[in-house]
Amino acid sequence: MLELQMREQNSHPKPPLLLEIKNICKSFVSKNSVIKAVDRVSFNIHKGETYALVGESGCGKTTTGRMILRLLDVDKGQILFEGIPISGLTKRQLRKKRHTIQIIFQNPYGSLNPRMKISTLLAEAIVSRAEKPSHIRAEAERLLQSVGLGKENLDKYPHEFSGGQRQRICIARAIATHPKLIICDEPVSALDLLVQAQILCLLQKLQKEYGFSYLFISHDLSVVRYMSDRIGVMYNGRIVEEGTRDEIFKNPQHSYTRLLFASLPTLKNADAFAAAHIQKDTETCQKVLRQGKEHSNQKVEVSPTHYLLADQ
Amino acid sequence: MPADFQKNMIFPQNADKTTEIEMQDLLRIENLSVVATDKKRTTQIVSEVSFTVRNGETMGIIGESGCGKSITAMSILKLTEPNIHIDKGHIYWGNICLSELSESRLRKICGKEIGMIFQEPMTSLNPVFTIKQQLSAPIRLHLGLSKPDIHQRCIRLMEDVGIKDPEKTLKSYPHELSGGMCQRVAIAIAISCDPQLLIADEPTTALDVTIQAQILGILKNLIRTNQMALLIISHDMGVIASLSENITVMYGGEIVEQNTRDNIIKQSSHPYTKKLIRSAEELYDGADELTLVRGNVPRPGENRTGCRFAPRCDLSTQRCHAEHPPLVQKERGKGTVRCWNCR
Amino acid sequence: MHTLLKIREKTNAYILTGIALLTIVFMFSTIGPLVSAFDPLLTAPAMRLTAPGSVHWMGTDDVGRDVFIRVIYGIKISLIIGVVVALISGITGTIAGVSAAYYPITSKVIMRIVDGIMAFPTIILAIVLAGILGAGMRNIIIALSISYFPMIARVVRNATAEVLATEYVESAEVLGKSNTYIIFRYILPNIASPLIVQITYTFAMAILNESILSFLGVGIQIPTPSLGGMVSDGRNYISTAPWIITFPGLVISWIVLSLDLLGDGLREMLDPRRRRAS
Repeated sequence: MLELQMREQNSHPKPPLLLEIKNICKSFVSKNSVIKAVDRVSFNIHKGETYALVGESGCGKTTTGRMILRLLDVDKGQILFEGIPISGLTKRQLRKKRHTIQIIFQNPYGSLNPRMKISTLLAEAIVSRAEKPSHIRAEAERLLQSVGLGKENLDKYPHEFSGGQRQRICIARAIATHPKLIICDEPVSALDLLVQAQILCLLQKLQKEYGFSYLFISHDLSVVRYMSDRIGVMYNGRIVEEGTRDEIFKNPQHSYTRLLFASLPTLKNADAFAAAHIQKDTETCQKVLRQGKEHSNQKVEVSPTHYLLADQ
Repeated sequence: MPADFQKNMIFPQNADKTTEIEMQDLLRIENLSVVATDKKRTTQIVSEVSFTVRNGETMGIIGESGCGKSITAMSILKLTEPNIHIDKGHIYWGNICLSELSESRLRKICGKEIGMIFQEPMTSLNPVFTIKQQLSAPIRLHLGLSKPDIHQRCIRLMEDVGIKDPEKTLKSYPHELSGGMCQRVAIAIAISCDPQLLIADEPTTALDVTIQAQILGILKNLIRTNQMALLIISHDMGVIASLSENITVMYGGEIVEQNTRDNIIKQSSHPYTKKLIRSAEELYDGADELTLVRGNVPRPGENRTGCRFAPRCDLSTQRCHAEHPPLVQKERGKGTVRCWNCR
Repeated sequence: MHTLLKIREKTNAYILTGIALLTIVFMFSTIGPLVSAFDPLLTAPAMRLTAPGSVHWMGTDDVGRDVFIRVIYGIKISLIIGVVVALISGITGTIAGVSAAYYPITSKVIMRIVDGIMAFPTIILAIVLAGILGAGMRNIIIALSISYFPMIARVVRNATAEVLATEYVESAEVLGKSNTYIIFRYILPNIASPLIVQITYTFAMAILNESILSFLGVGIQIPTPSLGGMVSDGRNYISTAPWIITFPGLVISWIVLSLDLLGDGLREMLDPRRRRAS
């Protein structure tokens, strides 16, 4: 592992590390069982990079995001943000650091306080910055314009907006604190296709402008392809394959990754997709399910940036 | 292509029956307009929607949220909320006019001749009854089979929808099953009385991609083996394309284009359909830049003059903003389109 | 401004009727003392059990006191008790409910106390408490507040837990907002609807129960006029002088009915399930 990292750094200089996640685990205890939501997950995010976690519901990708935000505490392992372990911060220190990591939620209807005007929603984010701007309202107007909404919207309430517009407001709120990392938890999966494209482009544009990193959490490979630099495929709480976007898309190695690709609907050859593929895939899926429980801890390296967990 | 498809489906024992109905339209919607009323005003949500689903045929309705596609499907069986009702137009089921039928007569057709599946599998099943109770209820009600026969049928239905352990699943409650399993059960209930038409309203939207692929496969198989017609509603072009022979594109409460699937995907005419297809292709097949369509979908009741897509359209002319285009037969090739600039 | 507009849009017949009925009672109790020349405590044995007429509009009671002016003062006392009980139990219940939802350890303690209190029927609890504390207005208020705070605490706790689970509260946490900020800007505004409805009901129940306590003799002490006490006094004369019991009884029903209408109307207006359209 260490060797691998060193080689990485030698071969092509990368921007400095922003977030390091080392072997984090999280279990949830329900009445009579323990569910391992996240199991020995490790990955790094560099400055200005977009790292995507792909997987289906229940694979632990959202839990990982919540642990980075410290909305949940890790059971084991370490999360280093700019070299500082965030699990070691006291409540007060954490509160001061909070503005550096922000989140955009999936459901734009539930993530804005319905009793606040847009101006208040933005203002409370702006004042969380380390250095407060002198004129908050002007800053709020600027933010709203940078996400493509007019300043006349400042005095409206969230329920007066459509889903896509609300997601823009959520984005404005997230960038208002000048964060270094934004966690996008399925930011477009509740939106229509054309609106999805708008929001994705906006996220890209803002990244170029502000230079923050994204942790992009999604179940949708097609969205991930557009957004990410590197991808980690999660399954049953583990990252089963990790690589750069091109490596994952052109050369998927793990059976689960391949199944995800096979399940992706396509417009070309739509008949073949539904009729022939599915029979085979359903069986593959069953096999993958069985295999999933038996993942070893052994990493198989495909290239310096591409590895997968070996099936046993 | 459709003819070929039907040939494959006809089984010897049912051949007479099928050829008899084959010529007929199963479901015919004529000029359907749906309005929502509240204390102050009435808002038109669906206007002048017409389409036909023939026996054994699959029709997909695609559109963004708020375009009226779900309302259209819901009003076929009068499942809309009480403040939403049909304003004009008729819905024919064979020779019966569904829109004029009494609630009780409608319930007899609903479930027996028309099955329906919804978006949220967890909420469409009743949490306090076992799967078996819920599955056998419509069978007993509509087909009046004996107890052992009902059980037999339940098992067969569960196998049809790809459930591996039918006996165990029949005894469980909905909350003990995953979303994908619940949707399979919902499909089993919908097809329990061999309906001639299955209406699926966003059947896979709440599911994971791999489960979605399985459900689509099951639906595809079912319509083939049971000779069922399918009306599928979705916002996902991939889902629609994989299941339907004919596609209706809706925008702002009305139909903007109607054609066979291949024509829609390969040579769509309406600018909105084109954008939709291009966006879907870019996402599915990978692209460095996404095409952007500015603006938002119109809210119901807003801007009634001119083409509803004109404010977002790159090709819009003065006429587009001033006059509302009718839905007309395309001059070249099959299908209908609602646009001044492409005929 | 927006909230005002929304309220006007959604105000329904229940709320309007409730407010109208309450206003009438309120006007009645304010104007009453100005137009009546009698003293609520002044006894006039010579005039006892006079039927309603031009001098004594509601007649007189067994010791010759004017029923009209006593009803007026009774209304005042009832309304004061209702408002104060609703406020005290509303505030304590909100504090208890919010902290129970927020801090799991406090939750266990508070909710056990609440469950313990709620195990007794409210009126019996109030009687016992009033018996222990002794009669008098202050003690009635204390007894009734203790009896009603658990219901509010429970409503508030459930509503708060619901709000706490939303993503918008998480988004505030991620911004590094303090708990106090989140409670005042996020939780209280979003639980206001069920809280207001519950407080309105408490108001009505407090008035009704004050009458019952007074009727049973553990409430407002004679000779201070109270609606329940008057009903109690009048029951011996129900056949000979029905007006003594009728008028205070009617007023109690009137007030409770108007508050219940108001509560129902508010619930309908504020219930999120009915608000889906907006």
